[in-house]
Amino acid sequence: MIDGQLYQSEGSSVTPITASIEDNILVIRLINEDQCNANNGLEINESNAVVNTDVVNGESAEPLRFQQSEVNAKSKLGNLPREITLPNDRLLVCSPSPLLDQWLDGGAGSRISQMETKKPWLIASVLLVPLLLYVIFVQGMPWAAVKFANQIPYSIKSVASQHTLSALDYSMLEPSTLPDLQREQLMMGFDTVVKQVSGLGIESNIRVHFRYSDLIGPNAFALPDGTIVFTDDLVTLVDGDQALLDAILLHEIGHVAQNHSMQLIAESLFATLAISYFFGDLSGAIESFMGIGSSVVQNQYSQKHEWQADNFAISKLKLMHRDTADFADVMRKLSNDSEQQGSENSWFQSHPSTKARIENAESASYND
Amino acid sequence: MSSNIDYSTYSLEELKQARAAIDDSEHPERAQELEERITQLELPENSSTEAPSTGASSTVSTASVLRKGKVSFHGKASEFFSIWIVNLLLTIVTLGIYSAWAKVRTNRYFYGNTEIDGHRFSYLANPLQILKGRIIAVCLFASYFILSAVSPIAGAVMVLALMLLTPFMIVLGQRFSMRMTGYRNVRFKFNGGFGDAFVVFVVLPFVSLFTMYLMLPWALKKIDEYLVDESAFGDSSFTTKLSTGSYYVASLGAVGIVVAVFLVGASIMGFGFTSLIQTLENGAPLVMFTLFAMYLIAYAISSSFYTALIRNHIYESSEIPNVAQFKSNVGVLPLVWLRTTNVIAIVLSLGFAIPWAKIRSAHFFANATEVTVLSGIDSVTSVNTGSVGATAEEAATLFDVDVALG
Repeated sequence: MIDGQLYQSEGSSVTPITASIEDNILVIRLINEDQCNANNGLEINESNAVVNTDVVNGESAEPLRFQQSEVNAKSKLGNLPREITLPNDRLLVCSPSPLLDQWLDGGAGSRISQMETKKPWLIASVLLVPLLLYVIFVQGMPWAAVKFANQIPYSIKSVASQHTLSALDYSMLEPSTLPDLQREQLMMGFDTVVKQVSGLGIESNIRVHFRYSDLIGPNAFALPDGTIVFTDDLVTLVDGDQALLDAILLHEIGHVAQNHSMQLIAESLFATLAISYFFGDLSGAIESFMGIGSSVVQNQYSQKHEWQADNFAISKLKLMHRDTADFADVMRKLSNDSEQQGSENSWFQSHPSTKARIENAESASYND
Repeated sequence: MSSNIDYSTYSLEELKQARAAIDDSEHPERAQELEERITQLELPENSSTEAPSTGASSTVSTASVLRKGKVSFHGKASEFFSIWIVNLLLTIVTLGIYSAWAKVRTNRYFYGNTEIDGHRFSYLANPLQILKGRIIAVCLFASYFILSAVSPIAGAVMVLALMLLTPFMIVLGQRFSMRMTGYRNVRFKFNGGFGDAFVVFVVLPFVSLFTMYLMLPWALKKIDEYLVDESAFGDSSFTTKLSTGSYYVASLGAVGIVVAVFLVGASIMGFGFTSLIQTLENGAPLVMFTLFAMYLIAYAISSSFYTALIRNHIYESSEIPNVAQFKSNVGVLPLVWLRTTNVIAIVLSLGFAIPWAKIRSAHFFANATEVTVLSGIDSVTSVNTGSVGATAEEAATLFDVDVALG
């Protein structure tokens, strides 16, 4: 006997019942207050059910019988009572029982609930989840981001860059205060570099701009269409040294050539979606940790792009038979200027530590 | 003006309220009538619970207290861990598609293990409905994300559009999650309209900006009132009377706690001012971590303070007339402890403690909640959803957005 409750369809009224499986048929007997005292009376009722029970006790004494095909049960889940929908939207809720599970689910039960209960599957899950997460975040997402970024037509990148630059001009950039002559000379130097970086198909798109900014200090950045912006502070920091600025230009060209902006958009999007759908439904402080997690992941992607751009610049410097120490020099100058030089925790930085970048550039020059 | 009020339709609770509100000197006869009716109703309640309300035949709502008890939660951390890890594995393998099925299994586990008065809740959503909602949500989010990255201007326009859309999504989401919740084979319902939602979720918070947020607690009250008042269990609506004062106490307290934590933090850091400058020169991490820790402490205490006070207040002030009354006694410190230990456990276990934390929270909130079941519970009838147009139904199930209640 399985204890349970029978709920009517139109209201919340409820009747306690006992259920059993007889000849592969689900039999439900209502426990009526009048009948509670005589449990064996039920057995008698059953044998000559058709004859007398209907009249004596009303509908309550008549056992309900259902074929498998008439009922609809939700899959087994943990040790929850089984919810079984009967014809006419009545709901039967039965305490868990192997007999009933067997009747509802057939032999072994649903595959999912097997996975949830069998040890080997659990151990496999515990091992596979971190492994798969690693593969997806480290291999899968960057790969998909490259594919995504390559699909973006130049026209969109161009519109995006124009909008971004005008938004920046409006908010944190001001016109350059460098003397015209200095700018023209630098531009000519850059032109020579761009001409030497051949075979990428983007040489004609590189446009260098100068801006003044209090907010971002000595800095340079690239927009996806090939627009590259140097701040006045950066030029003054290196005393207008063309060789050092060329190294930075090459780094920025590396970002453009490898389509990093578009890749980062895709990577951030994928990471945000994955984190919220894999670990979603959390609340409160844990959720703010998820936010931190996703910015850490994005920073890792960004750092990877910086390494790629650094190595692009270093390899191009070598190709041009120029000194790769230029790159190390300019990094050193930047780091002397920056307050965050010794920052060891790279998790919260979008750029790799300057020290490591200088070492990378220097080791490249020794390798020759 | 001695028009007779028909008190015979009043429930015991309402009679008591009316009695408390009435002016004895002005309406002595009404006060007397009320007292007679109250004693009349209280008597059978005390003498026996055997006399059940005659159900549908009696239209007079003379609800008596049937039972009173805590909400019980039967979930087990070990059992849920295996459900969770399998969900996670399948979600990853299917690149997120299985997350809809995972959500249904998770919700079924938590609803089905929550018991009030001997009956458990059930979660009725179909994974495909949720998958549809998620696909739409992902498309919306991705287009917003890409658009705002590509063009800040278009992104700003889209933020505005999404803000205006928020109340609609909240209403649709609320309708969905209420309709997908069943208890005693009766579904819950959310009747809130889009117009009211627009007022409480967009207009009031926007207006409160211009009062330097002084109006915000009142706006928050309006939001909760809207969410509770428009909810129903079958054909029986929730009613609530929230006090603006409680929202001001909770909000000001929460702000005060944040200020206090940062003042204490700053003074502790101030003692080592010279060392602070040194750490600044050696790099910012220590300062950053201190600030971050202070932020976490402030967040944990002030959000727990607000949650506990407001949840208790909402439960205390809400009921389903004749069907159920609620009580919540969440303590601020126990909630701070629960949340803090949860976060620590999750971080230290690299996430593997998430299922344990969720089960533990469910136990905590169930233990803090008490429900009084009134005799009207047996006559609650489900509302025939078949009468609602199929397209409205379809549209309502498009979005699966959750708004936390209390």
